[in-house]
Amino acid sequence: MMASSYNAKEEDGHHSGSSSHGGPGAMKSKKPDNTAFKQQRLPAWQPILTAGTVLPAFFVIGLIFIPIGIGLFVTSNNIKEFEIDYTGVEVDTPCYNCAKNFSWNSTTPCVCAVNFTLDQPFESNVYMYYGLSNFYQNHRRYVKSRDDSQLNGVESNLRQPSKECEPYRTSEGLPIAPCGAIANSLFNDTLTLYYIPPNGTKLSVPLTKKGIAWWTDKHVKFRNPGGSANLSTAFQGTAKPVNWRKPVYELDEDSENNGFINEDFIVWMRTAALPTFRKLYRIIQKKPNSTPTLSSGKYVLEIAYNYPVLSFDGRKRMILSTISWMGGKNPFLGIAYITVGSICFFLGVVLLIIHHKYDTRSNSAEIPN
Amino acid sequence: MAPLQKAQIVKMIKTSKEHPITLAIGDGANDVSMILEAHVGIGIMGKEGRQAVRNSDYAIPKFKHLKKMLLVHGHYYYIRISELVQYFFYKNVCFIFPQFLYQFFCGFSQQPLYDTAYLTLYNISFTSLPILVYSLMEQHINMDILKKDPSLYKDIAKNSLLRWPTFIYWTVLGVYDAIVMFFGAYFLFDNTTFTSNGQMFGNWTFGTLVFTVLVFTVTFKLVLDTHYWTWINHFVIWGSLVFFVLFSLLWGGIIWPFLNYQRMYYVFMQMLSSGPAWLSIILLITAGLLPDVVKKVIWRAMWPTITERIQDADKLYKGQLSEFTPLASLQAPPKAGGRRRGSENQRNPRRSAAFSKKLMFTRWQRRPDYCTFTPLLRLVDGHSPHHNAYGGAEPETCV
Repeated sequence: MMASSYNAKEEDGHHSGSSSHGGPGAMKSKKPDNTAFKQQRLPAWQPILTAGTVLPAFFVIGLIFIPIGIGLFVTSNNIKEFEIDYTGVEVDTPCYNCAKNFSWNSTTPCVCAVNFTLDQPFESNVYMYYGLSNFYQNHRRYVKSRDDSQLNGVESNLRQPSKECEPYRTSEGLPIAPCGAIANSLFNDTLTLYYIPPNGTKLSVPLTKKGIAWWTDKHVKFRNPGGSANLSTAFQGTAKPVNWRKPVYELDEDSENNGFINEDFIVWMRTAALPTFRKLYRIIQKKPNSTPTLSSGKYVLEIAYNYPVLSFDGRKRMILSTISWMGGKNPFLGIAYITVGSICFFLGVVLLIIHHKYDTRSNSAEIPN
Repeated sequence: MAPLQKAQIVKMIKTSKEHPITLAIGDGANDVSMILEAHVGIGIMGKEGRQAVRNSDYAIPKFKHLKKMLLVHGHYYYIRISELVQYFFYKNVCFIFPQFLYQFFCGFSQQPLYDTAYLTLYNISFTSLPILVYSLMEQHINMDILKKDPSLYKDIAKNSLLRWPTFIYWTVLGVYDAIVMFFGAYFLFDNTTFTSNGQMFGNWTFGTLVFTVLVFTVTFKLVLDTHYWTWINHFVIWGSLVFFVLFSLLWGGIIWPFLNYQRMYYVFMQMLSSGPAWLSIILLITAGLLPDVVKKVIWRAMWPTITERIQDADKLYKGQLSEFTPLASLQAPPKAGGRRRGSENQRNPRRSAAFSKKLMFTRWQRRPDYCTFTPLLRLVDGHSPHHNAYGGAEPETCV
C-alpha cells in the first residue's frame, strides 16, 4: 500500500502538525484549484434515456424506415436480372465437351453456344457480368500476391517485381509483368451475345468494353510503364504470366485499353469479397429511341471456353442485369429496412403502453397529499 | 488500543464470512498497522504527525472529507471504471468478431477484413478518447444528491457492475453487434452490385463498410451511456468520428509513396458514393443499437434502480431546486440553476456544513417540493427492515 501522491506534496511542505491551508504568505496552499474543471462542475447537458424521451425517436425511425424499405423493395423488384450457368457439368449442357476436354496448351479455343430466352424486355443500360462460384479471391496468399507499384508503371518494379508475387514473380529468368497470382488467374473466357429475331438470322448485340472499371483505377492506380510509347518495347525483357496465352501488351488493339490499363484486367485485379462473386464484363448501351435495349425473345450466348473451373469444383455463369439508383437486384436491403422499421414502430407502441402504465403509477405515488 | 489490536480487529472483519472490503481511517502512529491491514487505508493529517498519512492509500486533511470521498468520489470512480472495463471489452469484441466470422468465407486463410491502418488505429485513435473522457468526467448523479443520500451506494454494492451477469450482457451485446454488422454487410454485398453504374466493389470496400459501421456503432453506444455531457465529451466523441472520416479520406485519397500496396486507394470515397452503402450503414447502426436502448428503457420503466429514480426526480425538480437554494441568490449572480447548486458545495469544503443546514431549513419550509424523492425511496425500500427508521426521520433523510 503506497502513499498517494497527495501525500508526497504534504511531505514537501511540512514543518508543523497543524493544517496548512489558509496560511498566508510563506507557504503555498495545497488546496486544489477552485476551477470548474478541477472541481468537476463543468456545465453539462444531462440527458436521461427514459421511455418518454425515446418514444418519439422510435416512432420517427419506424415512420422513416418503412417507406424507405418499401421503396427499396419495389425498386429491387423492378430490376430485371437473368442468370445462366455455363460451366458444363451435366452431360446435356452445351459446354460439357469444352469443360471435359480442357487442355492448357490448346491453340484454338473451344467454342460453345448456350441458347436462352428472355421473357421480358430489358430497358435502359443492361450490364453483363460473369460470375464465379467457389473461387476464393479473398484468400490471404492470393490477395497479397500482386505488385501495385509495378502496376502503377514504376520502371524498377517492372524489372524487379515485389517478393509478394512469389511464385509468380519470374518465369524462365525474366520478370513477369504483371506478376502475382491474381494477374495470373485472369478470367479469359470470351462471351458474345446474339439476338435471334423471330424471322431471320442472328444479330450481334453490341457490347461496350469501356467504363467497366473504376475511373480512379484506370486513370491513376494502373499506369503503363514507359509512357504511351510502343508497349511491346516498354515491356521488353519481361515475360508474360505463366497461364496467359498472350502477353499483356496484346490484350487489346486499342492502345487506350492495352497493357496494364486494360479494363478487363483492372476489373479482375480488384479482388472480390466473397467466394461467390460477379464482375462486370460488358455494358449494353441503351438504344436512343424508346426501344428496349434487349427485347424479349431468343438469344444465344457464344462462349470461347478458356477458363477451367471444374478442377476446384467452381462454377461459371453469365448474368444480365439492369441497374437502378440502388444498384443491382437486392431485395435484402428493402426487407431489412421494412423489418427494422416495423420492429421500431412496434417497440414504440409497447413503450407507449409501458410509459403510460408505469409513469402514471409513479407520478401518482410521487406527489404527496 | 494498541496498534496490533487494531490491526487484528480489521483482520477479523476481513476474514469473516462475507469477506467484505474494509476501510480503516486513522490519524496517529498507532493507526498505521490498522491502515496497512485494511483494503483501503485512509490517513488524516492531524496533530499527531504524518505517520498515518505516509502509510495510507488516501490522505485527507479533515475527517469530514471522508464523506465526500466515499459518497461522491468513490462512487464516481466505481461507475467510471466499471464502464471503462466493460466498454473496452465490448468494443474489442465488436472489432474482432467480424474478422473471425470472415474466416468462414475466405477459406480460413487469415485474411484480415480491415486494412492494416484501420487495424492499428482502431484502439488508438478512433475509439480511445471518448471512453477516456467518460472515465474522467462522468457524473451519473449530481454530487449533492450523492452526499445527501448514502443509500444510493446500494446500487453498486458488492461490485455489482463488474459481476458475471453484467459482463456476459456486454459480451452478448458485442457478439450481437458484430453479427449484425458482418452479416448485414454480407447479405447486402452477396453477389449484387452496389453502385449505380454497375461497377463492383472488392473485399477492401466490404471491410471498410463493416469498419465504418463498427466505429459509429461503438461510439454511439457510448453516446447512449453518457449522462454528463461537458464540452470535452462533445469534442472527443464527435471529434473521433470526424477524425475517422477525415483519416479515411486522406488515407485513400493519395497514392502514398511509402506504402508498398495501394489497395485502399479511393476505396472509402467509392463506398461513400454508393447510395445503398449509406442506407446500409444507417440501417446496421440502428439495428445494432436497438436492443440495448430497448433494454435500458424498459428496465428503467419497469424495474428502476434507486439511482435511476433519483435521476428522474432530479431532472423533474431541477428547476425548483435552484430557486430556493438560499446561497445562490446571495453569493453569486444567478446562472443556470443546476450548475449553481453544485458549485456552492465545492467552493469551500468548510462551508458545506453551513450550507446544508441552510438547505435543510429551507426544505423544511417547502416540504412538498424537494423531499418528494424520499417517498420514492420508500417505494423502493418497501421491504427493507431498516427502512422505517430511515423514512421516519424526514429532515435527516433530506440531509
